[in-house]
Amino acid sequence: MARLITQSPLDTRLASWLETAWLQRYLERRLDAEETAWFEAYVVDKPALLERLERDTDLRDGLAEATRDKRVAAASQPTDSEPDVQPLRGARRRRPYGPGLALAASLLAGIGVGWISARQATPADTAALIANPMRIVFDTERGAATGPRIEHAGSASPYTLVEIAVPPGAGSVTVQMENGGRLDLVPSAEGFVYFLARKDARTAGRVMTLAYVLDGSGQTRSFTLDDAKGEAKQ
Amino acid sequence: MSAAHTDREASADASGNLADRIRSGDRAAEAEFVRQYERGVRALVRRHTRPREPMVDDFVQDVLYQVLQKLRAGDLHDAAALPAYLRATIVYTTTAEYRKRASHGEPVATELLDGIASAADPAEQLRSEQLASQVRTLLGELPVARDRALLIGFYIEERSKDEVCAELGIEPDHFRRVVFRARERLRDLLERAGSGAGA
Repeated sequence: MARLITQSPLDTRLASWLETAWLQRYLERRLDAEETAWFEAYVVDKPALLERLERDTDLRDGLAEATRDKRVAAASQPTDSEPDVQPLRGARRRRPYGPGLALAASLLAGIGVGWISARQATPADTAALIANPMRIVFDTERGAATGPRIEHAGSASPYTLVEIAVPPGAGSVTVQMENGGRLDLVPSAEGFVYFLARKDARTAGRVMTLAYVLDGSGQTRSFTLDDAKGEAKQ
Repeated sequence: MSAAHTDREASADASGNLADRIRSGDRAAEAEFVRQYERGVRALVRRHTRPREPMVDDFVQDVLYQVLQKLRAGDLHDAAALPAYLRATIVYTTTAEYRKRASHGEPVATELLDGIASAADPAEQLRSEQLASQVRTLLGELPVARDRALLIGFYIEERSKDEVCAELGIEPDHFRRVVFRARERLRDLLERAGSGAGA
């Protein structure tokens, strides 16, 4: 149903209960990228929904400010035997509001596990059209490198489409694989460069280097295609 | 003809009319465009930027200006696509700025933004302090430390709802109750303090 709605015109007003359901899922960060884009465009001129969205953002901002200088500890003395506010046990900070937000981090964070393996040629190797190739997207959100978004992780396609965000104004972008050739890449209007990588022994374990020039200064980022983790999404 | 269909036609007509008027140089239509979309643009800019981002106003102005330029030039042919175009411009503008900062090694950590925010806009600083004060009150009212950990985990550490629930051993319904009450209570506190939400 979500797909049908996201393909519907934005100027069609949903029923109130459906708007609420969408908002709930949005605020719980349970929408995928396409659904999020559709819903944000939908709410942009709807004050009642915006009010509820702003309330949630206020809570986020207020929490960030209140916990910034640890004054929250004085304002929230525990009234039971449970421990006070602390990072969750075994906390694995996903996108902490701290340093390490560079694109390099997203690259070094790597790409999905286990998809690189020596493979024999499959019929897909010679197919004229390849449906749903595996796709890996590296992007930056709110200044923090987000985990790579992996789609069609189980694809039988012998290729993987890799998309990497580069800073605005980046030029002379290249990617070079260890002991391999160098490819020139042209950033798209959205600020991404793309390349196809074969899912076989030729790319397994090889260090790749993305290089570009920004404001007259050369930048490089190195990564491998087989040592990282990501959330696979079929 | 259904009510939804009528609404859709009316909305499309209004957007189309506004776009046509802006293209023809109608200054009042430009003001109307800003009035109609500024709040939504601001709300979405805040969603796409970090807490206490000092450049929210700049982003809002930049987005509205870019889209207005497109409308003036008549480059936006499908008026019904205006909301999606606005949203795309917001994402592009905020993401480009953060990519730029990251590539220049510029500070984006909250601790470093603190200094910028403090020096930037006294009114915004005051609002930020009021917001923090009300949230401290809110946190102080939560009797169970686990509920405070829930809010911190979800909003500050940006963990998923499922992760937070699993980690704290709570049910999704409890998660929703805590978050819902927190939002409602914060609104109540802000209204009592006289500071508008979402400003």
